[in-house]
Amino acid sequence: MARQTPKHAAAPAPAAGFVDDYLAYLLARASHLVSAEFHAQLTALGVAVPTWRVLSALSDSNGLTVGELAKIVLLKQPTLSKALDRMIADGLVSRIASSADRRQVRVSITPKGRAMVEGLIARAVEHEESVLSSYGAAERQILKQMLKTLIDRLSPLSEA
Amino acid sequence: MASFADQAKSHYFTYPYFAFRRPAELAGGRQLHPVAIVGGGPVGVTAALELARFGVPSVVIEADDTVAEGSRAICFSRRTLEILDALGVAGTVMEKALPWTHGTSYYKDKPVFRLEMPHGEHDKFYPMVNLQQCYLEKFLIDRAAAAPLIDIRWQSRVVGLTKEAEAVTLDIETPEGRYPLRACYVIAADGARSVMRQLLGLSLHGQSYEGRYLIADIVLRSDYPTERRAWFDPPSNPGSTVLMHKQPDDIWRIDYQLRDDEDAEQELQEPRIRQRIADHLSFIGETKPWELDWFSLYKAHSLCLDDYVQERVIFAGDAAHLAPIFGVRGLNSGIADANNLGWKLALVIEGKAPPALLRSYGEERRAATFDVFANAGKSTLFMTPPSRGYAVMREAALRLAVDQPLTRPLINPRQSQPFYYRESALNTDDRAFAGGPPPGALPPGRRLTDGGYLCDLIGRAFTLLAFADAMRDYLGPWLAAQAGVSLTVLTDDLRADFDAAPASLYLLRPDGHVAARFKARPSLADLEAALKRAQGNA
Repeated sequence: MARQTPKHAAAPAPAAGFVDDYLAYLLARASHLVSAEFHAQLTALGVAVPTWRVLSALSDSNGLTVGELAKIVLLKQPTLSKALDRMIADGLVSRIASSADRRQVRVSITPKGRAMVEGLIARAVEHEESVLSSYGAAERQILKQMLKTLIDRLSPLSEA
Repeated sequence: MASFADQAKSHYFTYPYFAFRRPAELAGGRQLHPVAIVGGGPVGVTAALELARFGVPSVVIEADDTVAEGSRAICFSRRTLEILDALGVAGTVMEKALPWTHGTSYYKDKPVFRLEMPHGEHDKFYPMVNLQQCYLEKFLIDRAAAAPLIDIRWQSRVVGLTKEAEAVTLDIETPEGRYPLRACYVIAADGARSVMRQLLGLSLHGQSYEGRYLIADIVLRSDYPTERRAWFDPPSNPGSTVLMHKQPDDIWRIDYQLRDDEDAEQELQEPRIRQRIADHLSFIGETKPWELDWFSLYKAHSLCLDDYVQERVIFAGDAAHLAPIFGVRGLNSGIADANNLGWKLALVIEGKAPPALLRSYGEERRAATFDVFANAGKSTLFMTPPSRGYAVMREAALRLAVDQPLTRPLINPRQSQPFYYRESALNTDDRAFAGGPPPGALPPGRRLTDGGYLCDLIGRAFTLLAFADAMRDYLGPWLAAQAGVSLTVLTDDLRADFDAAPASLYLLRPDGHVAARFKARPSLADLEAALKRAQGNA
């Protein structure tokens, strides 16, 4: 698979413009670069990105409400609902009434969905490994830790 | 276990050789399969074809490198042919198989019972056909090999099993090493000596009969028609019972009972077998030269597991139950197991029914097993009387039957009939019906005005049978909101068969059995409740 950018480019040139040093832009660009290759793999397998996100989010849960799921998979509820309808028809997820509250519906992964996502997760782990291959263990930990901290600190604000 | 190398000697059948192919798992690949099927015999492969029909992929694990040796099951029932038809295999079977409708039972040298199985223009298939099991297995495997959803792994045996919360891992031993195979569900169809049963520490319960039969295939050119013949206490083999069935390729199957005082080891010597068969052939006037092709020893059992559904491992066929051969309920029951399980497991795998639906597989098929035991038990007591008392009674019945029609029904071999799931938890009944197939039963065979058969219209999904065009408008919006339910409106002439009024409705399961019926037009809520119940949401 072609790799667009060398992993360790020479020390970055002084910032050419505003965006080149702007956090939101850096995060967005990094996210795009990291995801693009894997999304290409998904497309080649005939798996829509929302399908992958929903399945991977459900893979280690006992079911989530549509609201909870929407936050994790970064999709708006109407878009997610449409994706879920398709996935239910395909037998990848099902809607089940919550045992605690019959009115509350949870989405859970089916055996077929589980069989599918386990293969995709293995590919995702492989892909992550290739993305991080030139980073040492400590670097990887710092990178992930900083992103997690950033998410944690910002989350209450956006969800308030 | 037989292998390809041992079996090249058959007079009529070329045993295929199935090579081992390295699966991705042996190269370290890890994959979760929706379903693994242990056993590539006729029940396992039928289960794989049933699942594929509903879009569910499966991996079949088979220890051997070819099909099972010899004629074995030989007789396949009309219901089995209907099931195979939906899988696209019945056509191939019918090109080869020999159909039959009649049978004759003899006491010594006198005919005492004439078996006649109904067969008419409304039946798509004959009540019974004879075909060597090796052919049936090959036809099923050919079909499965062409199905992209089925992955048969030959020369691979299960040697270990680990349960997880959401999956089962099987330890697979192959000529090129071991690997773990993970699956959400496992169908154990690995036969009478099931390894899966042993790995789970399960055993079969019930009774074994005293009777032992020597079963043999011979090559013989004879114009005698295809029918079932049974001789009780024939002059050729005094004190024994002999059965004879014609098979394709000039092969005849001969089964004869070993008396209690006969030593199995001695009786399994080829010269002894040849002598006993020769005596019988000369008794019935077959004078042409013949050749022995295959033989085996058979002992009658009525044994089954206490529960066919063991969490994520589901037993089917001989791995779940062993029945006496009289009345041809062995493989026919196994095929019915696969047919009952296929759609249920497919719905569960796709989250369209709760795992509780699988319980109904165990309940329904165990009820069918006990029905088989009850019928085959009667036949077995007759075919191999276990005590002096039974033997005296049988002799009396047979003696009388020579001149008296009164005792003839006692000699009826009670051939396999499809089982009705009368007590199924999936059923919704309506007492307003005075006739027609009740919940759990199969609809009658009917030829349609367009030349097809009723059984062609059902068995692909849940099917609503309606009896008036007006029902289309009523059901239209409801059907549009249901996935996996289709509507068929039957012509007026079929109402009588279903005791149907114009607004009556029958709901059929994907295996064709009636799930629910409504004499008067049901509310959509009642219809929906019946559908949910049939999907295991009781």
